[in-house]
Amino acid sequence: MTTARETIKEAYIGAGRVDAYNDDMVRYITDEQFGYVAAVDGIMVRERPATCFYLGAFFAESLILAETGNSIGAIQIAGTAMPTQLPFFVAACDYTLIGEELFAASAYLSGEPKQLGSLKGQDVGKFMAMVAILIGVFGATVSEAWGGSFFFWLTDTVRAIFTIQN
Amino acid sequence: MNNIGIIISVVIIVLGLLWLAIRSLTGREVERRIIFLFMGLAVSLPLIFNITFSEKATPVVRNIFNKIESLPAGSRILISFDYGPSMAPEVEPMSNAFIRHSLAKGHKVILMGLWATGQSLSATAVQDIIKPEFPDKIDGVDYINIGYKAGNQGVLNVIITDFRKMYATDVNGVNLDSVAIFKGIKSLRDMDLMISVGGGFPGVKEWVLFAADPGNIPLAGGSAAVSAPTYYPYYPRQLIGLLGGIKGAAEYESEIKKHYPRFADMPTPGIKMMGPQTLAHLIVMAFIVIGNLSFFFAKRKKIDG
Amino acid sequence: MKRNIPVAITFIVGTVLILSVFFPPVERMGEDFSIFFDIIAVFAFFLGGGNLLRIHSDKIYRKQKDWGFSVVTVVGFCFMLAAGLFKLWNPGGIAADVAAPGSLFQLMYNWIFNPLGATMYALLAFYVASASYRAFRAKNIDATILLVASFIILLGRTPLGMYATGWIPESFSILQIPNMAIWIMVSPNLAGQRAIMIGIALGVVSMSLRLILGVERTYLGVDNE
Repeated sequence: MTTARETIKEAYIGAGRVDAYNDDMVRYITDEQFGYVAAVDGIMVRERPATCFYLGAFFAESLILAETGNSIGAIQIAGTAMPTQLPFFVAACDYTLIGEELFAASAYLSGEPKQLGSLKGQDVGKFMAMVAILIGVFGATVSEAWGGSFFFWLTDTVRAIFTIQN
Repeated sequence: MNNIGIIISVVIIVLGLLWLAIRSLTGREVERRIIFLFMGLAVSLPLIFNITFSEKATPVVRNIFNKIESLPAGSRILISFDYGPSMAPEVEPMSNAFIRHSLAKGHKVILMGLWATGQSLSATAVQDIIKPEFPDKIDGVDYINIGYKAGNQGVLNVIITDFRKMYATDVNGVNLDSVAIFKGIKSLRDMDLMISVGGGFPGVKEWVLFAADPGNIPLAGGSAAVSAPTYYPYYPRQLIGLLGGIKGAAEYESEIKKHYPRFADMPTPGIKMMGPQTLAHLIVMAFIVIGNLSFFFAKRKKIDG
Repeated sequence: MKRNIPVAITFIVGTVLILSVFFPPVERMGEDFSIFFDIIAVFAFFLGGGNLLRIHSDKIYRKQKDWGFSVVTVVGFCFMLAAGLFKLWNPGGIAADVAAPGSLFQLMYNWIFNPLGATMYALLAFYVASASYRAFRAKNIDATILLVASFIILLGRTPLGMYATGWIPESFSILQIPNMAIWIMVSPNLAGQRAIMIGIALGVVSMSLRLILGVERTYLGVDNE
């Protein structure tokens, strides 16, 4: 809650509307999933916001929030890294940031070099993951089909690199 | 009753869907409440007429059953209640089935939870399942409820090396060192099987990442249907099996009934709920078809117009 | 100072937790930090609960719009807190398990909290139906393939799938709808899920590194420096 308050307050200051900010705008509701969604739905139906942003980790409450937002006629923008909730947001919201796009969005909007840099780093990481997958798939397929100690060694090495054993 | 019920349900719903289709195709708006009414009928009619279907376990469910069957009597099975009351109707049949199966096989059952709400649910399981159906089983000897600890995956990080750093007592305040079931148990690595039942955070994924994979401990999962697709990547290496949604629960219940005559009369909420699930799925498919038909009809009308 | 101390704490804790996975000597510290987190989490409950009471009490006092709902919130909160804290009606007394059968806490949990939570979860079934009717359109080839897959999964997760295709011989058992549904889950879905998971994991690593190294400071209420 404190972190959210600081973030929202900073956003208001950045937009030059510090007078419009009030600490009570960001309040704790509950950590219970459906208590939270019931409270937020109530707020949405009573206050009828024009736009709803759903950003972060969501579970079963995602579709309930999105459908309630749809029923009040709000524009809805969602972004989540939870693969199970993406289909619900894609179906029910106007715009959806899928998975990684959530992390890339702030870099894209702000254009800050550090954020863009970490985006580039993620792309490099993805490229490395792709190379590792290709090597592992090639090694596993060839070793299963034709044998060869080198390919067994290759597959085992790739597997060992990506396994954590205590 | 089953067949008459099916016929009545199908007739009511088909007539209703026909009306909906005609309304959609003639371009008239269909209110959300009509759709909600159909869903309400689809869910309630099978319950009213007691419509049930027979189930056959798929390999992903049968693997868990076979694992519990293959463990020697007296093996230690840990069941984690990682869900709240909202998810209970879907996953509680799974946890109850696991408890019944494990105790019937003579295994030692350790109940815990990574969700605060899980502790009440595990207490309910002890009260409603273990005590009435297994009166010969002794708390502290054959089963124990060690309850909930805050910290999500942090709890797993600790108990993978030492249980007692996180759990000194069970839910009744009895010291773990004084109970027979915990003799020889230092950490999660001393478990023969872990089962995580739940579908949120922390849940099956955290058990895979922080317990099963690092500790090389067999893990089975039971999860809500919506979360199950994210756990299939871990099957079959990190997860020996997965009960996905109420279908998984129904399959497991049918396996237990098939192999254990003592459970012939046990309540089977999983199997019972397959009736509403079946009709509800058919309704959703019908809505998708009707929605698409009216979309293409309207599109064609626009092009022709 | 106000900003440097949290950044320093984040750096130390984050670094130790990363190292604890790879270096056994630091593993113990990682476990200790996990326990520290538990303790801090308990204080967060106080902060949240206190904030909730303050906001709603203020609303009731000033009789602001919809203050009646706040009365329900405060009464429910206090009642449940008292029931759990003082172990009201608990057969085992003050030292017993808070959720002991017969305790007021467990009764309220079983008869109020459970049904309310299940009711909210049940709304999903209705909303899935209305979202399906409104949003699932076969506008292009991708959407059509998605719809076909969804039909197979919908049928495969019910006994009808087996009844409809159970006659198919074992040698072609992959064409049985339940097996096709499982194949969709463990093959194309698996590939897509793993790709999304890798992308998300890299995003989390990147964000975590930024937080640990103090590059990202929005949680402190400052723009990134």
